[in-house]
Amino acid sequence: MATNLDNIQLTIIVGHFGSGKTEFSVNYAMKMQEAGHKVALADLDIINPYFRTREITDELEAKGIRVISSVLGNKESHPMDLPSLSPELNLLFQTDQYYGIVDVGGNPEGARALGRFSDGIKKTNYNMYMVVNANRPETETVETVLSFMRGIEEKSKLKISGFINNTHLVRDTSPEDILKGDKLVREVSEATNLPVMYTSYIKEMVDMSGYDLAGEKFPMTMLMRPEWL
Amino acid sequence: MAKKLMKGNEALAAAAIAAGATHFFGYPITPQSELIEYMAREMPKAGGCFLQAESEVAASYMVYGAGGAGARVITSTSSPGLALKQEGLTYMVAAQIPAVVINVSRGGPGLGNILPQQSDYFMCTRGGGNGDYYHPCFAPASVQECADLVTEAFDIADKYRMPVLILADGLIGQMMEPVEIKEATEKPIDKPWAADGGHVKRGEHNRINAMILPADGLEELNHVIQAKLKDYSENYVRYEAIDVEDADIVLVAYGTPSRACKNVLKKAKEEGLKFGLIRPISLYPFPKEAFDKINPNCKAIISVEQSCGQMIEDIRLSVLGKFPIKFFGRTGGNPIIPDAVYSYAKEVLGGKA
Repeated sequence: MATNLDNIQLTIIVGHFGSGKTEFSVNYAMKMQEAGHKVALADLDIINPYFRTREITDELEAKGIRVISSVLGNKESHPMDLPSLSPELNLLFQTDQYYGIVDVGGNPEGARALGRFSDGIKKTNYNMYMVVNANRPETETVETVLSFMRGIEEKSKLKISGFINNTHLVRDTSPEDILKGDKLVREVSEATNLPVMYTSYIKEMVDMSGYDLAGEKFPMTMLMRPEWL
Repeated sequence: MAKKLMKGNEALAAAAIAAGATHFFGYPITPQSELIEYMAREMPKAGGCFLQAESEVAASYMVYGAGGAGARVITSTSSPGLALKQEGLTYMVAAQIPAVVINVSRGGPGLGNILPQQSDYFMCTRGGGNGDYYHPCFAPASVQECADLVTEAFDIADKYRMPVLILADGLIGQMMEPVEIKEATEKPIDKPWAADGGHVKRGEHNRINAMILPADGLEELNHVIQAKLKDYSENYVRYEAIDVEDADIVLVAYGTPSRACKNVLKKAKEEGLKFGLIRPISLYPFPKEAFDKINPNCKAIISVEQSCGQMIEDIRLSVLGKFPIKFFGRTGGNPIIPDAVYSYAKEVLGGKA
């Protein structure tokens, strides 16, 4: 198989559980797919048992996005309590067949799963973005975000390359929440010298068009939470 | 305190610490592991004791010991883990030890799976161990309610000197919602009965004991337990009743399925149908009085459960034959979807189910 490692496009999404990294990852995968890329989305979350990419595998695959799961059995109907890393993951790290998006588990322990692939990943053009929700008690200050970031970097053996402000309170989200997160990620960006890549929010819930926000605005559709819940 | 975003499991733990819990003993099991992880991280910071026991049985006796010494103590688990804890729980009832016990329930029977299910209703509302007793049992349907009920559960446990259960299905434990953790306003009551080395004169002892050999002594203890349950049952009935007074169909659901049912009510209203909902918050005592408010011409009551039908027995006992009772349920961790409940309810209304 002909492979040019320089061409491998890989975006790794990390963040605390509740930050909304799966929601972002799924929306990002769809956006990249719409932009003409051949996308594969890998669910590497071995921390959260529910609200996982596998729950919407059918919808994603219908759009032509390849879904790589981290449990034995890919569909919601086979939710075995056995985290397992699929050999398919190597498609993302060792070939340039796909634009890869990797959704990593909700804490530094979850990022350990990524460490297993770090040697291969380091040889590629990867970006690792940390999703920040300023309403999560574990990432509400610059200090706690930095400490979380260091934990992720240590366990994954990879470097964070930017931040995503995804501050929300599910259906109670207001523009003030996003602005609170905006202030936080700007401060984190200053402290780390790393860019804020996106500010993401559910477009049906808040309209942020009139606001000056760090990074690119990334309006999303809520896909991971059923309407009735 | 401003609202934060938390999982149900985290809110249950945070509220316990805010309520003054000083001891946690437990053993990890999905889908409640975030609770024990939170305790491992935060309980020592609050100056309390976190200990991961070697098993659920061991954890339940550590709770017995700490509670017997007067500590505010909590343990948490998921379905098969609660089955293991039953021995400790019935001993706590006999020794009159207060404690808060949390069950974030999963799929069964057996080891089952890690998905949400409500098949522990009998185990949690009937007194899961040996002997004559029931547990006070509450079922939250939101993350905020998780926090609020834990705060109250500690006061009830102390007041009646018995274990109080919180039954949250796995989805309530795993779901994220905004929550405000309220600091406890009242100080825990004094415990003159506690075996803590104080409270008694030299030469006297406070005994914590679950074995009472004389027949009259054990009968007296049973009378004491029954009297406590009677008083509790008269004072802690909790439920939410929506539009039942003129409903043609009344749904009954607790925990996550009640959220689906609220959506069914909305849909029914849009289509001009009269649906009501009873959401028990206290499962023991079961809110029988809510059923007295139902429209006498109501066509049927539907029990909606993520089980094969357990709460339906309490509904039958509450209704006593006044209305036909139907059942809609899913198991295996399959969710209760509003559309499916609505279709079934319309069939019942049309006399087809």
